[in-house]
Amino acid sequence: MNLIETNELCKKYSKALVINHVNMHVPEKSIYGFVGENGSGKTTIMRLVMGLVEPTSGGFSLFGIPNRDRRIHDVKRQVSAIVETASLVPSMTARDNMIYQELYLGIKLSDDERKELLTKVHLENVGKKKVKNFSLGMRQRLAIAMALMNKPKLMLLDEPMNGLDPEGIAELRELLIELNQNEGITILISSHILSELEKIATTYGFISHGQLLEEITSDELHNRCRKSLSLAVNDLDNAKEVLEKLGLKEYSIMPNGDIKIYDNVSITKLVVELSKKNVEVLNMRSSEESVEDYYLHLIKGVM
Amino acid sequence: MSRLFKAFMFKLRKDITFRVTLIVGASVAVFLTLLYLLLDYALFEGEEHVFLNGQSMLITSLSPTQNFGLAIPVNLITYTVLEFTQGSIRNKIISGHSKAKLYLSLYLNGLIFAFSLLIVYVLICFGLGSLIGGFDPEGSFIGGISSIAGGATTLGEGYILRILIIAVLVYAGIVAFTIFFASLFRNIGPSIPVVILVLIMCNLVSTFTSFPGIDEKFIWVMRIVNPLHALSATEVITTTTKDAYDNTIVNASVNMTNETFFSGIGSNIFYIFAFLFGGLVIFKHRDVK
Repeated sequence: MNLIETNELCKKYSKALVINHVNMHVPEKSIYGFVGENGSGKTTIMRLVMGLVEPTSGGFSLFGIPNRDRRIHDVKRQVSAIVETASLVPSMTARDNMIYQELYLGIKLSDDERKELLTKVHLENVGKKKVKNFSLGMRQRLAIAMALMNKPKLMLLDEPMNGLDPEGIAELRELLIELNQNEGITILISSHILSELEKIATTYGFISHGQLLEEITSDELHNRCRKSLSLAVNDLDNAKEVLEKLGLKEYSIMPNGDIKIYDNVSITKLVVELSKKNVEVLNMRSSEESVEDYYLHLIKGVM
Repeated sequence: MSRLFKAFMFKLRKDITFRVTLIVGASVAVFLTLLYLLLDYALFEGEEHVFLNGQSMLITSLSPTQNFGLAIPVNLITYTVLEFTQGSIRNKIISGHSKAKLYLSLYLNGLIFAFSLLIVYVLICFGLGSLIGGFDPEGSFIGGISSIAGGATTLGEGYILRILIIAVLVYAGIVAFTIFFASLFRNIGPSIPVVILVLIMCNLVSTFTSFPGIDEKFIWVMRIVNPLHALSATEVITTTTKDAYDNTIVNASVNMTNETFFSGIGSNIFYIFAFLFGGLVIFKHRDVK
């Protein structure tokens, strides 16, 4: 079952179509990594799904309930979200912020439960410090603790790693994996830190200029990520001649002068042919495309 | 809705700005009392409480455009705009509250916010005025220059009740109007000048109707169009009676005519619903960032 499903979802601001017929599927119990450049439409889709923004056309469903159905409001009680910035009352303490949210959520947590949540995000010692005196990272962590208050089945996190230090990022990563694996919480997460996303996401959605380019599972992605061979040589022109002679079509010259070969090639044959042309191989390594490479390769096809 | 209300009450209890505003309101009330006391001493050597008495302080303190009156919408704008800028509205929508319920709760919360401040201010003014000057002393100064010109020194029967009913409706309208602009602009900058300007203009126009020789048609239009008219207009009603020797005795008192009272109720109810409904429709269709 998909907890979030969008159907030809569109959003227009003035004349600009910022979300363009998006059909997105967030499977239950997945960590859905939402990848896209700034202004690609990630946050807008999250806002649309959370009912903050009205779609221009198309629709979506949450837990199978269509957005026009009145039951959508009840279903949203199982959802929590941090969209862009943490929504906190700066003049109140962490505890008061939690009580305030409990009241409008219609839940009641004990002091121990509140403490437990704060401990989860390493804010157990904030005492009566007002939120306005928190650092950006502390606010982000408090927002995450508060997002867990209603024991959600689905969490939408828009750039949750913003403002966190490396240690905080690692802790958040562990927390999200734990929530997903132990408590079965489905997580839709967007982040610019693709290397971090790569460590937790089980499904990816790539978006650019308001268009969802591809949805792919983590396993599929790793199968598709192209393997490449990088060479550093002393004579680039002669090396290119050798590559042409060997019939290699898929290669590119990197900005630092390295040659990146995507075609399958016998390394022995390649080195021998280069040597015949007096091209010295200074460095050679094989690598696999990262999520970032894959995404950049994907958007090149669109732009 | 009850969840939103409980959350609002909790936030209000914790809100330092609200507490400070309450203290400011109480201080303004005490200051106003002292000012009127000084005025009585300066003009009548304290022998008569023409300015400082219960009924005059009650009527003065109900004015939405004088003294503390303007501070109420200004503070309400600040409170409402913060609901948007701090992301509380966003969180409430995310947690499943419909936009319609949210807007209505903003209005109901606004009523509690405004009336808490107003009641504290009015009660202190009225209480101190009655305590020092008595409720209704002989020759009290009611309604300003026009009542003096009309020779009225007493209040007509039921006037206080009418003023209170109109004041409740006027403030309920001001709350609807304030919430409308605060949630439309979602920014303190333009909201405060617009609300203050409109209130001052309404008050200014309503004072024109007290001018001698003003066209009756203009007064009628104002009764219907201007929601502050009934609260600001001072009408001197004269009645004549004959004494035992068949002499005609003219009695003049400050009162509110039925026309002014009922058109005041009508126009204020209209504005409450117009701003509430208009705000609701706009809020439902506008995006929340």
